[in-house]
Amino acid sequence: MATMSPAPVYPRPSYQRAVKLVRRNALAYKHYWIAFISGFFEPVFYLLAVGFGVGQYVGGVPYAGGTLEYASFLAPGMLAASTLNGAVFDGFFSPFFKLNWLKTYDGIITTPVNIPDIAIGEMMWALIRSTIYGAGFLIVMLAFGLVHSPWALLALPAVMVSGGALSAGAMILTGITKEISSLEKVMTLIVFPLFLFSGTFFPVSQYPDLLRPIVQATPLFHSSSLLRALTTGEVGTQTLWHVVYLVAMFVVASAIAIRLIRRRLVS
Amino acid sequence: MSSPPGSDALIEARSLTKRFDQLMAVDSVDFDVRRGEAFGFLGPNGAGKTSTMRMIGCTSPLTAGSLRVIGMDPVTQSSEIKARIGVVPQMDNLDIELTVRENLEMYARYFDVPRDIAGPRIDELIEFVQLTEKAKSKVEPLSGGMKRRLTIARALVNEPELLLLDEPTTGLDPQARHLVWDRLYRLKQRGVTLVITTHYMDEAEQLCDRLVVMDNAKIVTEGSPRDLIARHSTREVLELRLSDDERGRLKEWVDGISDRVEWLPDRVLLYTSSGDEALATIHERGIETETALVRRASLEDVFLTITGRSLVE
Ligand SMILES: Nc1ncnc2c1ncn2[C@@H]1O[C@H](COP(=O)(O)OP(=O)(O)OP(=O)(O)O)[C@@H](O)[C@H]1O
Ligand SMILES: [Mg+2]
Repeated sequence: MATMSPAPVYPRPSYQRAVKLVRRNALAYKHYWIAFISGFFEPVFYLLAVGFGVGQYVGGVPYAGGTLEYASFLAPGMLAASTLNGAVFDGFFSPFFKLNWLKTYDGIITTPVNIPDIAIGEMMWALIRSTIYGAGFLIVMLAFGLVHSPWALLALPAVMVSGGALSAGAMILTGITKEISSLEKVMTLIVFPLFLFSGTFFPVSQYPDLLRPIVQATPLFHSSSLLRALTTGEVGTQTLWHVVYLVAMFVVASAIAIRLIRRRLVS
Repeated sequence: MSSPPGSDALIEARSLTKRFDQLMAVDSVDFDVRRGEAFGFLGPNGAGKTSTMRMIGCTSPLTAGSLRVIGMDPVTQSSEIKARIGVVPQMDNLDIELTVRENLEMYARYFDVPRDIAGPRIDELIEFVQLTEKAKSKVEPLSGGMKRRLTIARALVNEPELLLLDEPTTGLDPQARHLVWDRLYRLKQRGVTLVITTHYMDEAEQLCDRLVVMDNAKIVTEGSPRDLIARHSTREVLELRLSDDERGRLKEWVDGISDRVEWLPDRVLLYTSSGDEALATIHERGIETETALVRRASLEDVFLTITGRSLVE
């Protein structure tokens, strides 16, 4: 029996309970399927407009000691961006509203599903959406002849690793934002700069020496570099480091996210 | 009110305390809820009713004291407890991205109700709260009363033995309130234990076998509605409206004919065993009343006597 100031005892997260959130989201998106697929097209449009449109005037990009046709350089960057989109939509936007406005989680925690189960379930779902976007984008790349190596077979698992890391990162943002104005701040100060400057549109060799390490510390840099290595076949030891970074980010960020979400739901 | 160990208490709270930073929301309260009864929490805004309910429902950790719910410890067995209770929170938190039926289906999943059992049970529940026509509707366009009924159905999807209802009928029209009362009464007949908070004294009188009144984070009185009226009020109340002059005249000798008098800005309340006798005496003395009403004392009189008439924020 609990007595004076009981130390908090947190129930262990359960995979079976977390999966219920995935089912809940799958059910909800039956009503919002247009919203679900629309996020996929954004990076595709960039690929078409910038990759093929602007790309004609760009020519080749220095890459791995040679040059790479611009569309082939940009495509894996947009592939990484498509996983970012999935992660931001369902690791941040949707949980943000459920947490702060819809109070969806306040209802769910009255059932045997606990707070960590919710956080994990939402990250699983965001990862799934990321992966679906990534897989779709890979098909687009194949169709446009932008895949140049059998290493690309590993692009799908790499997409999942990227989606996992970014989803966990997005969930941290959910845990630290309350105000509706935060949505705008996150989009203009975090997501959009990541999208533009993480070695997605141009190589990081363009940056001055002081700035480059900062860019190289961002998750989307590792994600786009990893995916570019796989779709071009320029795989080396540093490719492994990208994987290590993303897996480590997933582990650390999801642990932090669970704590943050718990803090927001317990009172 | 506490019962001996080994009793059939479904909820047992001892020195139960909840503090939010410096604010004492629940200050060392003791109470027992017995299996099968309807137990009420009354009290003014901010008294600590919701805070108490949330601790019982295992969604808010206790600051101090002890609590057992269905023989289990909310600190270590929250999932097990939550599996066996139903919660109707003060604020609706339905899943607005789902339809009425999907809300129930999803909650059946959260509670691990097997699918073949969940289907017919959900049909029954939708019928039970009279939302059959709305089963395929989204939640957003439902009226407040319909949402409340859906929330009640949701709380029943795991066939709970204990139902926590935080102001279940606030905002409902009279028809919907009576429907909810009827449904709660039926649940009680089936042996479900009900814990209810309410600001409606008629609701408490109708539904509750026993209740406590909370004020300022503490329990200030407890008993059955009838007990409380007997203990804290007279049998009848005479309500008078009169002019200021007549008020003054009444003041001089009124103490003799009534146990207690309350001078409100618009009315005078005389607490007495016989309202008719008191009124007759007043008329005998030649005092003119604009209106006079004799009524039975109610829980509302008890409530106002105990917690006072002024708003204390
Ligand atoms: N999450 C919270 N954080 C800080 N203070 C809180 C929180 N929840 C409740 N309180 C405070 O605790 C006190 C008791 O609140 P509670 O909601 O339990 O009252 P109540 O009896 O349910 O009132 P009402 O009849 O208005 O619903 C209030 O002073 C309230 O401001
Ligand atoms: Mg309340």
